[in-house]
Amino acid sequence: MRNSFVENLVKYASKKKNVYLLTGDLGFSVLEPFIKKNPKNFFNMGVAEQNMMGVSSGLALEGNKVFTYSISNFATSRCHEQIRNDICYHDLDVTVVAVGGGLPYGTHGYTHHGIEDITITRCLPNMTVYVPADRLELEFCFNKIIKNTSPKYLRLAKGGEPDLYKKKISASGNVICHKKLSEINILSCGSILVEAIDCCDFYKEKGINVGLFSCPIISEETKPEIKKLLSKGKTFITLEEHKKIGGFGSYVSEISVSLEEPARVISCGVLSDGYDLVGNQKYLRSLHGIDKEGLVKVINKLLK
Amino acid sequence: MLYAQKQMSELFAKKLLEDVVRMTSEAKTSHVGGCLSCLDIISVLFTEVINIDKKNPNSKNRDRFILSKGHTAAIIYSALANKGFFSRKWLSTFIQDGTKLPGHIDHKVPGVEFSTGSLGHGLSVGLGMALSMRYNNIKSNVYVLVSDGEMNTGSTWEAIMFAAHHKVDNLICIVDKNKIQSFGETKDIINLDPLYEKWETYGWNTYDIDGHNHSEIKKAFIDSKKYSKKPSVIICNTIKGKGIKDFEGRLISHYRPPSEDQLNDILKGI
Repeated sequence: MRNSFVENLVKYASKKKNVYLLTGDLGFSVLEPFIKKNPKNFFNMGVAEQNMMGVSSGLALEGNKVFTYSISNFATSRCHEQIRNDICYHDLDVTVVAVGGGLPYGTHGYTHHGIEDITITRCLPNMTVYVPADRLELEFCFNKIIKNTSPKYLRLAKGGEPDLYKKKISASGNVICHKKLSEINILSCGSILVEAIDCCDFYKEKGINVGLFSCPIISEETKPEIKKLLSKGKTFITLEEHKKIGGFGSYVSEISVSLEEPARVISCGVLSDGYDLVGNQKYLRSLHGIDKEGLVKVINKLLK
Repeated sequence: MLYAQKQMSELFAKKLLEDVVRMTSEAKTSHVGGCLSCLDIISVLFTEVINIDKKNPNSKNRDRFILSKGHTAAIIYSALANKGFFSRKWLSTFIQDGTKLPGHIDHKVPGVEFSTGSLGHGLSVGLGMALSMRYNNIKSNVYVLVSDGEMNTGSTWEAIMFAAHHKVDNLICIVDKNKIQSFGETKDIINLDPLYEKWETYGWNTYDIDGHNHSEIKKAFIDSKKYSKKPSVIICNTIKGKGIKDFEGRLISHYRPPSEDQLNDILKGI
């Protein structure tokens, strides 16, 4: 997904003079295609994320479209106040791009677990959060990002995620339907979608339909689409590779409680008491019950 | 300095003094000390140095000014009102319910480039502006006023290092070295000195001047504009609370609003 982001960015920047890419000294063997073609529009800011966000604000104030690049926590937690005050309060055209969203760096320890980033970005004013599941969802999000002149957070996983779509996404809204609405439905956010697809296929073989919707864009604009789904009187399981506190599940629940008849929403995400578990992504997904098997357990209970 | 020019910045300084003492006194609010320490700097800057135009506030060729020590908003509101960016009547609404003039500087106020209030943000933002202006061959300058207490922040040093590395010579930082921060004297909290040597070692074209002497201030600005291949910093040695006898050089000037008597004394003096 990292490389797809850079491919999209290079293509976009080839038509524009005012696209800047700033990195916090990360992106080896990823960012080079952009740097090669746009050397004057690239800055390695060093290990100095607060300054990176301030500088990106200054560049955006001058009419530029700015992308910053770092690992999830360095890109958000470390410089949260600069994102809040400088970028969001001034409603600037800066996209904070993070790699390692979720648990792809699970073996590196808690410092590299990107599991609180959605919570702390989606609450900021003027901010839209993009969480693509694969390279085609990334392209889908990127096409919206280039039209959006307000603050954006683009949460990427890492690299090597499987393709989950056979062709370019043509959804008219922000929510992408994979399996039509059923009695039980999964609302998935990010690269964890692969687990939801496996789960739906598992039940399909048994003759049971489980609805599946991918929600790569967390924003005010997406709310009416989610609200419409939640109004149908069905059960919804939210799935994310992120802590349950304040993340995508919370976002859906907040929409649900605004309904006259709130939907039944079950949240599946990273468990608060296992936040510091170490291991590879597959292992950690299993421990937190957010893999296919975890979803099957939840759905089997509902089917009883 | 020519007599007429001296008169211009000094007359402006009197307006600023009257306004900030009145605004903070009537609103019974804090931070007059930091307004008064940078009063002469702002006076020279806004009358003799920066190119801004109320009729064309977004001109791409304007100079950019960022107040990074955003708690001293009152003095910039006064400067902008006196330059005609908005009505002077607004000044009496400072920090009142529903006001357009909050206690920390806000970009929604005409003429204000950027909102600050949390220290350590302004220099990075100014640096970003300066980089873009250089890329687009805009020959104006970016001025950022920081406080000495603000130099505790790591983000400011991140910006200092980056600006020097990239030789951002259209960036001019002004340090209001009034030697007092929120909870005491800077020398007792995190000693900044030798500050001149620090900036110089970090690769900046550095000036160290009397921040209340208009001739020295103006000369430093003129010299810094001519300098190339390095960003410039003007360290202005100032007195916190300057102009209010009981506040001068005292921590209390950071917190206590001027009394009615102090306001009247200032008005009589003017």
